[in-house]
Amino acid sequence: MKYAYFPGCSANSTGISYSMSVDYMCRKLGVGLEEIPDWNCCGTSAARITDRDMALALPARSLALSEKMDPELSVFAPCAGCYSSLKTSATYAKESDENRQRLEDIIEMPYEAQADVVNILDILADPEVLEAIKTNMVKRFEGLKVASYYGCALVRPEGMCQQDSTENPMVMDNVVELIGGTPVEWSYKTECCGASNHITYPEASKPMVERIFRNAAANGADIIVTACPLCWMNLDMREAEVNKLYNREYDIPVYYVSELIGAALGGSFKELGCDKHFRPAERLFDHLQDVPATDAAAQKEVVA
Amino acid sequence: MQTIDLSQIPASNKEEIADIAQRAGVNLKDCYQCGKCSAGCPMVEYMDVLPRMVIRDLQLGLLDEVLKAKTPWVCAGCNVCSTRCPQNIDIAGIMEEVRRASKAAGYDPVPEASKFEEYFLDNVRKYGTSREVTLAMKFNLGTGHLFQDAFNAPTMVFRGILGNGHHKVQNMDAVRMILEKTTPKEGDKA
Repeated sequence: MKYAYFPGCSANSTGISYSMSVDYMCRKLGVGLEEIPDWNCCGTSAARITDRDMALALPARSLALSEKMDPELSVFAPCAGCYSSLKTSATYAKESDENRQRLEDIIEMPYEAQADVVNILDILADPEVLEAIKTNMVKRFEGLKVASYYGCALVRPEGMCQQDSTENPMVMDNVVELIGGTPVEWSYKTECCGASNHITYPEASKPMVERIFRNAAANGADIIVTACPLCWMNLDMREAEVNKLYNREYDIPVYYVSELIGAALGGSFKELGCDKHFRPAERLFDHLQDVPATDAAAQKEVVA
Repeated sequence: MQTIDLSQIPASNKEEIADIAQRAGVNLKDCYQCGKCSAGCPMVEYMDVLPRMVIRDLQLGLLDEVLKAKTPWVCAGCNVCSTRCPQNIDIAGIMEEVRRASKAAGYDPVPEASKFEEYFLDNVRKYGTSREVTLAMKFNLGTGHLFQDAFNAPTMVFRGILGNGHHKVQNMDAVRMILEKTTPKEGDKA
């Protein structure tokens, strides 16, 4: 299994724990990632609001470069924002030859638009990947209640993302269960974290983060897992602010789902980038137990 | 009570409204005002015009009401409205197009939001990528919110959250060409 890899701008800054843990997870699972040479920013909401063509053409350049590298590979963008921009552009180009040529004219590159764009949920829903996790797991979580937080861009718009559900997606919950965690049923799985409004309109966005922690806490979550660098930053970086502002005592570390999977696959605190969180993130590892050797062998046998 | 025939609204700005709807791929007449968009919107308490009313105003030809509203600029683009609309109207798409039209018409109801986009694209024009720290600093200086999020900076440096070096696009001419071709020009239709 191999993908063209679009790391996105946050991969080497605020999303560094995400890129490190995705990289670790994919290596352990035998999922090849080949970085798209000379990829550029997807443009995200800034391009969308400036001009529709800009929002379609900026990702189209990276998609065309991926095609040039290997036309057979689907493009994997771990960042939910990048995924959304790239997928919108690819979907538009696939809609009609006229659309596709319009993008070719803007980027002045050939673009056949054959390849698909996938996010981490698409990968984690793949039975082959789930099987690989089962076979390669060396540790499992015990007594860890996990609220899976999907946010917006991985599940909406519905027609484009085609996840199992837009209101109650289960892909991360299922993986969490597979590696020993206890999925928490809660109401804020797909509520918006506030996105870039935290910069442009902070007083309107803080309540959004507070509500997410409140609902996770009310349902007994020990931790929250996300699959988006912006969601992660808005939650992890702002938990302390929200506590101070609203006089709360939320104590819920926020992780990437790839950090949890990576830990189950044997990754260390540092290898997975868990030392690069705003809030202390050691707790996750207190809940890890070795998978008994006999079990592991048995699992391998079943698979074989 | 009087019946209003939506096809008979003598709007002088009919063309502009049709353009917004067409770009968003929406037939405004599809909306029967159920209000589900506004009920599910996570930002609604900070909006001056309900999402439902944005569509209503456009149906009625009240373009200015919409162009000067804060609502489209407060919209976080989460797509809950579009997903839950029983008539499959892309309300979030309308918000994006209204923002663009509002900017083109010279309104700036939430200056922070338009500044943020401007600085974001400046970064892309310069490096081909977005650099969050440069962006945050420029934003704080440009809007006078000097210390916003500044207290997180030491943690970021100390914990290595800023990473080690950015991806630099080699073929910047290609990126700049795309931006040049698609940036709305002065005098473009709103």
